[in-house]
Amino acid sequence: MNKEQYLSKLKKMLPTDESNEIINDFEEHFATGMAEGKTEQEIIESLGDPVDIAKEYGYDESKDGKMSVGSRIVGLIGLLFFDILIGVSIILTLFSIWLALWTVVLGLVVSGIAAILGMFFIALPWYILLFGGISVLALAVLMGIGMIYLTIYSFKGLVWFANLHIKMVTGE
Amino acid sequence: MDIQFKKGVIELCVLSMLLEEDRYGYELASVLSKKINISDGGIYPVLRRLKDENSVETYLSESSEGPPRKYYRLTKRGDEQRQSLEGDWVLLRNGVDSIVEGGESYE
Repeated sequence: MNKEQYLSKLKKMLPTDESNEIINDFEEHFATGMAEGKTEQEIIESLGDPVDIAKEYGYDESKDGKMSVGSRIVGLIGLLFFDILIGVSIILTLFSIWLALWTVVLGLVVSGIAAILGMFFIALPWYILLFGGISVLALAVLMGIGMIYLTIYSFKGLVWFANLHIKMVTGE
Repeated sequence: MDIQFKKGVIELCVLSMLLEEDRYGYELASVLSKKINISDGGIYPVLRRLKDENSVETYLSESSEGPPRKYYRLTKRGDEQRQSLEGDWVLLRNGVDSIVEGGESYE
């Protein structure tokens, strides 16, 4: 943890109307300590746990960020219903589309290579086959890049959705 | 140490230190963490509470190194609070001492 992380962690737990002024005091504390030759780490260590400090300013851990058991159960049941009724079919549909698109990329790669290799076998002018093949390969690369992004974002979306369930169980 | 008890003790220490001269947060924190075992961060909530109760007032003063510092000054109300806390402290200390060191009769 560095100074910025420490202060932002502390700030999140402070009452909003006072947080700026309090953080200023701590900024000053860091500045003075560093002028005395201490490192950020040493200052953080001697300041102590931000949660303990926030508690002294009236931060209540049990009230904050945690959902009640009741709302967690309702939330979890709601999510499970969503999963069974539409969640699963949406995910399967999206997965099929994703698979189909990757297959298209693969198809473009194969046909591009085939066209270029075809210069030696097929009775068509070689330049048509060569440039045709290169164009198709370029298209495959473009689409492949697009698909990589799509894959990353879909994965993040899936993780977010899975985390919703975990959140309902842990209540955080 | 009990939290409420500790708060009172820290308040007494801060107010007593301010009786001598105006001081800034870092100074108070480093003396207190050295002399009584508290973390530096614990001093700022106490200072804020004392300010809310008008026991101390603050002003900014330029420093030779780094940004301007927030100084704390004891008010009249703060001095009254200090005397009352000191009274409590002396009573408590004497009482505890007599039990811890005396041992035989507690009358």
